[in-house]
Amino acid sequence: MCLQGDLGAGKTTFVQGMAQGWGSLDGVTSPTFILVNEYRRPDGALLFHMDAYRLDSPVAALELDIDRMLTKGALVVEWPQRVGWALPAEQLRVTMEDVAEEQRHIEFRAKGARYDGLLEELQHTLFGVAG
Amino acid sequence: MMLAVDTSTDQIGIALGDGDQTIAEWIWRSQQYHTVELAPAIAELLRHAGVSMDSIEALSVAVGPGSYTALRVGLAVAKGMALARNLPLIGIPTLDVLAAGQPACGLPLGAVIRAGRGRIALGWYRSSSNSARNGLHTEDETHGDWRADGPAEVTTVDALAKSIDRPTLIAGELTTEERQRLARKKKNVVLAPPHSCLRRPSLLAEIGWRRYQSGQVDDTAALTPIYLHHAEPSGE
Repeated sequence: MCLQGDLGAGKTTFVQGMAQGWGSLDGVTSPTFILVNEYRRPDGALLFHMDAYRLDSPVAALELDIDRMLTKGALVVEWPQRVGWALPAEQLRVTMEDVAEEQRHIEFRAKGARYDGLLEELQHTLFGVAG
Repeated sequence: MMLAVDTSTDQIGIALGDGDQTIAEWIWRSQQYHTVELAPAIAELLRHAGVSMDSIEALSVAVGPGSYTALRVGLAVAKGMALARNLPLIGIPTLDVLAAGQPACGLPLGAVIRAGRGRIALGWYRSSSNSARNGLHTEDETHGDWRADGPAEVTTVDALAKSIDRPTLIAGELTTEERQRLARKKKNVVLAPPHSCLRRPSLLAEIGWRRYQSGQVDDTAALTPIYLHHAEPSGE
């Protein structure tokens, strides 16, 4: 999942909610300085949380072994535009924008069949209608 | 005694050998983290085989290609031991170890390991003892003297299958589905049996031992893994 938005848009807060809903055993913190956080769930599932802000190329993401993350679990990437083609073409793209102090505009875009399905499910859960 | 460590992929292999004998060899597919499993496994292997760390004279390590994290763990552990105990360290290309386990059969060999996202790293090898003779073989003849034929590259099983137009031996980490896809090219593809598709750390120890005996040791601090970058996808 690619998570776009300016500083202060609430990306890390969004991931906190995601991880909580997913059932993380670990608390979510911003991975700005350590680049990648790894969160565990009791059943052994893994969620990787990457902040690509300090990465300067797709190759830098490959060298962090993004392939392992994609193989071993789910991956959410902040500042995905920094690492371009290192990310899979099929993805869910979430764009967050500041509207007011306590209000955000969030846009979801799916690429690929799996993500179309996820988006439809999300729509159904949130608004009770199918896309 | 040589300690050999191969963590190129999910498959971890460690072995003890002295050039004449393999003392112990463990190969398993790691379910967790190489960082968690490798060092305790080495300690356990030594204990199991009744070999003390003091009798380790040199270390050999598989340097890739492979997956980034996995390779780094093996190299870090091997380098740490080499530096701490002042032991010579020998780095061996991972696919050389796989090739060394294949019989001489007069065919070109494609040695493969997983490269992430359904892709494979592929290295071509040619055997110099190309004419597999009938009758008795010496040890060196039954195991072909395989030489790398160009650098390894990242590709897919489908591209590999398409490129094969003459009888070819394929060995290495392949899923059941990939083996079936290659087997459809029945006439030309000879698939190595699963046991030959393992990278044997005992072979890594043998190759490393020969290099050690001939004085070709690596600079421990400078030794780095062979990473194969995926090319930027074209046309997107």
